[in-house]
Amino acid sequence: MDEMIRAENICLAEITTATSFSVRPGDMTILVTPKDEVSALLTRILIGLTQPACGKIFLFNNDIATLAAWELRDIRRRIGIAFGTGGLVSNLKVWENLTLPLYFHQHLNNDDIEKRGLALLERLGYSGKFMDLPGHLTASQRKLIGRARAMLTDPDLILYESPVSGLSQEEKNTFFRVACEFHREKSARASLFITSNLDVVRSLPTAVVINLTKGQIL
Amino acid sequence: MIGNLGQWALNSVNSLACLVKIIIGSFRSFPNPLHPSRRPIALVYLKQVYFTGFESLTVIIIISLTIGTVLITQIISLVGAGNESLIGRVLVWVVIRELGPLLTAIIVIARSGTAIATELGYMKINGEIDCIEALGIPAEQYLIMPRIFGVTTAVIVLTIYFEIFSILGGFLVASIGWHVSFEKFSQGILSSLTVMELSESIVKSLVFGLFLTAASCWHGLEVGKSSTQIPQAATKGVMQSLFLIFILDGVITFASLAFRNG
Repeated sequence: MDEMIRAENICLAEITTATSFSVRPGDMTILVTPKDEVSALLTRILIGLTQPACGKIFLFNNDIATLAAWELRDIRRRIGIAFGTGGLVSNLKVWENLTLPLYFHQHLNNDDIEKRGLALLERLGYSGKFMDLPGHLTASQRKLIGRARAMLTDPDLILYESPVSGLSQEEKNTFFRVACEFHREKSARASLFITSNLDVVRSLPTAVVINLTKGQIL
Repeated sequence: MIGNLGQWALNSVNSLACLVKIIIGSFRSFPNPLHPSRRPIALVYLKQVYFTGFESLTVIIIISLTIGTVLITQIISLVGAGNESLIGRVLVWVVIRELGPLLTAIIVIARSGTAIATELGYMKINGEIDCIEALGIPAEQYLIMPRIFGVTTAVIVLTIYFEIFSILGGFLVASIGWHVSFEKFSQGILSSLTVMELSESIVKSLVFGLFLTAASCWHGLEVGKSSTQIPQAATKGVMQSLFLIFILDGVITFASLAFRNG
């Protein structure tokens, strides 16, 4: 069966038990980690930016250790990655950060990109400035722009790293609502939440929870 | 002692190989004109041309006018004010062949080379380069290539400005101080200004631009995880760029001389 992500016996220094899991099209999965730093490391490992201490990662049925850099980039284009810190480029303005992947990968005109970007920001409840550098935004605004950037390309798989850490309750509620809607918009879309915050588990009751702190699937 | 020298030579060759690899990589990662990536890449290129070329223009004009006046004063004190054609010829030799490309490159190293190394080092430490890669965007194509071509374009254009304003400054001083006529002064310059002189100047600024940017980018990307490495990267980038442009200047000058002498 097609799998978007398959991790085979991966281990990190912080997780003693080697863990295997997979994410299939349509799945909503939560990986519970011991802390946010581990979530960040695991995200990097899953998208091939860092090698795991042991084990293998398969993205869309490809062993990422055997892929050339350009092949891995092609695969990453199918994945939206919402980094915990936002992952914004500090010398690009908010709007440039948001639309960078669209401008880089897709043949769309400025009007279409503007419409899509504005509609998404409105849906996510962004009320900050567009033409400021990321350094002028609050941490939650940077996170929101990073999330919007991940969603804007309409990916097959979306990864949320530490999605609710540092957010207010209202911001968390908005996030859970939008993330669920976004997941349902495309039938085969998979959503993967990598978090140490159990609020995510409580707020997404239909999701499969993989508790990496104990090496078990709940 | 000999062992250290050998190690130094080996390191220098390795560094040069890395820079050549970066430059070749930049040419190879030039975007397909029909690919959408050309737009964001062109934007980075234009920003770099603006920052390095346009924002340095005032500094270049002031320094070139000053250099022109100093040079003409020295030349006239050496050959006398009556020998206008020789004055023009020496000015062309010194400014067009040597000082124009060399001083422009030094100014660009001081201004943009440090900025590029610092910016890339900061981006590396903050994980921004990884984030760009995570978006499926090749960092080499988006961050390095447009900077290399942007700075190189700016160096070539600034060199031309430097040469024009140096000669202009020289003429103004010669005209005011020693009543040298524009006609004779320009004749001296035009008679010694050949395609060869201009080609040498452009080739030098092209090569300097490519290598100084490659060195700055390389040292910026070499930054590890500590912020104290950022100023070190900038310093290393400047030192290597300076060292390289002086070596390359010598090599191109000798090659040009050999070419002239058949």
